[in-house]
Amino acid sequence: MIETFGSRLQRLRKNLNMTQDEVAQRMNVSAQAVSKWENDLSAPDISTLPSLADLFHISLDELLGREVPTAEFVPAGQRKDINSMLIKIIFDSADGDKVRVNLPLAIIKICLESGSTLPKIDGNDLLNKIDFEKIFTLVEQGVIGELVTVESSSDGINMRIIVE
Amino acid sequence: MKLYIIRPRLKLYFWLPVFLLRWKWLWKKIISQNNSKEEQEIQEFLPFVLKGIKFYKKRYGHFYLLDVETKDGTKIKIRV
Repeated sequence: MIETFGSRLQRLRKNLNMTQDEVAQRMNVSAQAVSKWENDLSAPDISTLPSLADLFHISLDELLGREVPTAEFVPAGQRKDINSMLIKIIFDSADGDKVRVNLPLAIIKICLESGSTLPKIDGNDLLNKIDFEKIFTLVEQGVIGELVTVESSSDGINMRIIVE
Repeated sequence: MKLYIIRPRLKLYFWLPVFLLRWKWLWKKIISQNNSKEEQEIQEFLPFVLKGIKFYKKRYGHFYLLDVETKDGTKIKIRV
């Protein structure tokens, strides 16, 4: 059965154990509005869709029901120049803070080509699990997209690493 | 590079020199790194960060290095 926008919204809300009131409060709308969205009686204003996606820690594509591959392999003839790619490190906290760090992949490439090693980030519980050299190797071999997803159970922070 | 600080009734923009990206304190704050054992590694890595960012910007144009949004609606962005 095809999932409607409203039923998807309801599923996403329940996944985060949120009430309609809580969603309404975060989105600056009435609870009745959220109820109408979930029952497919109306739809949110287009300008609020990015905020709604952020609230549920998903992309706009996912919110609108478009299948987004978490990681994909790109054949050799179709790959972008690795120097033009960015590695995006995304932190979403449970209480609504969002941090996005975008680093050119060229940084890792230049560091590795010089014979240096990447520093270990032991001070961060999430980042210290990540091997950026291996991520770079994967990208060189044609793998892009969302390569890493980590959720910290202690403080509810989600971290994702996306290469594009 | 340009630093944006945006709050509901306040918008501030600062132009900052790119060499500030070599500022070790900034990177330690970003990655919550307080271990002195790794300081040397970070210090050695920073020139590569600056070189890589300059290379990317020269060839592919501006991009947002950092984009932060707090739960109270404050937004902080660094555009290189």
